Amino acid sequence: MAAALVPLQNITLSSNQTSVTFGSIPTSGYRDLYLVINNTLVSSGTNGVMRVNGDTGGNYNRIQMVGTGSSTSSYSASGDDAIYSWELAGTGSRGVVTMNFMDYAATDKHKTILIRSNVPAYAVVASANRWASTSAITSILLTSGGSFAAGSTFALYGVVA
Amino acid sequence: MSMTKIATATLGSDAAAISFTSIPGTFTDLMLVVSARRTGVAEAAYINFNGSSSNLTVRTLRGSGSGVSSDNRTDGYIGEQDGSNMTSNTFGNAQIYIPNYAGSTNKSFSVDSVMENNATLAYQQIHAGLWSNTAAITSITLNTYLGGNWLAGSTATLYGVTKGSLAGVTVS
Repeated sequence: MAAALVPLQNITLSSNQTSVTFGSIPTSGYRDLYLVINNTLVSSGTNGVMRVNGDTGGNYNRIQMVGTGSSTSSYSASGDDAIYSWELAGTGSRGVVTMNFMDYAATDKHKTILIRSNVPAYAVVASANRWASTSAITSILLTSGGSFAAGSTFALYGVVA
Repeated sequence: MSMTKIATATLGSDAAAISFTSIPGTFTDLMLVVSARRTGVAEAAYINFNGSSSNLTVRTLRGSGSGVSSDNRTDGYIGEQDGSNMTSNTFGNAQIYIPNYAGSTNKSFSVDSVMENNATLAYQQIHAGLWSNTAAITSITLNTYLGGNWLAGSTATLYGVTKGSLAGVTVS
């Protein structure tokens, strides 16, 4: 039976680190990418920041919904210089983020990235994001306003069509 | 293959719980996919780990078809599941992702669930969960509100997801 979810790369941080980058992502053999983050930040919880292919231009668009346990909200933005629509757990907590990069290697469409953020101490978030580029995704940068604590894990998978 | 089916539970008769035990610690993450219906009216469903319903917190976001709400809970709530007052032959669904389930840190988990109904009232929910326990997860149990029963035909499948690396792909 052919594998549907293929591990591409992973890292468990041995020390605090301000960013994690997956690079040299193959552009054939897979339809989508699936990324799982299980983390704690050194400081308090904050927005995650994600860029693909090192693009720092205003090419990121998003819509998101947030539940904090006491309130609900929805936001949208266009022309951002990164994807900011995900949340990370801060000191004393632990969160999980999953990202689906749909048709990541297609060269005839912009890229849709669906993100679920789970920070039990703060919020649950779902967002739909668009990278306005027809380039295949070959690298993913993950960072935030703080540092990822040692022990945080990041795993990237390819999804076979 | 990095996603392996560990076990499937299919209820041949009504039952109070759907359980997975003796979960091996050889995978990286767990994914649980559920299709379930209650014998009684639609109500809440809960998850617990290693037989314990303690030290669980869940933050929820729910759409009902006519409104939206968010809760902060101290239990293993994973959403409302279909029951006898919902469209017949219709089962609710949930997907629960648990990273690093066998590690020595507290266990956070992600839940997406839906209570299907061919009427205005239906629930679509997302949850951020945390089991504040550093023990490896070796069993998972799904229960319903006030000890009700799951209907025969309810199913749940547990998958193990294994991380790895492919030559050429870098991370730093």
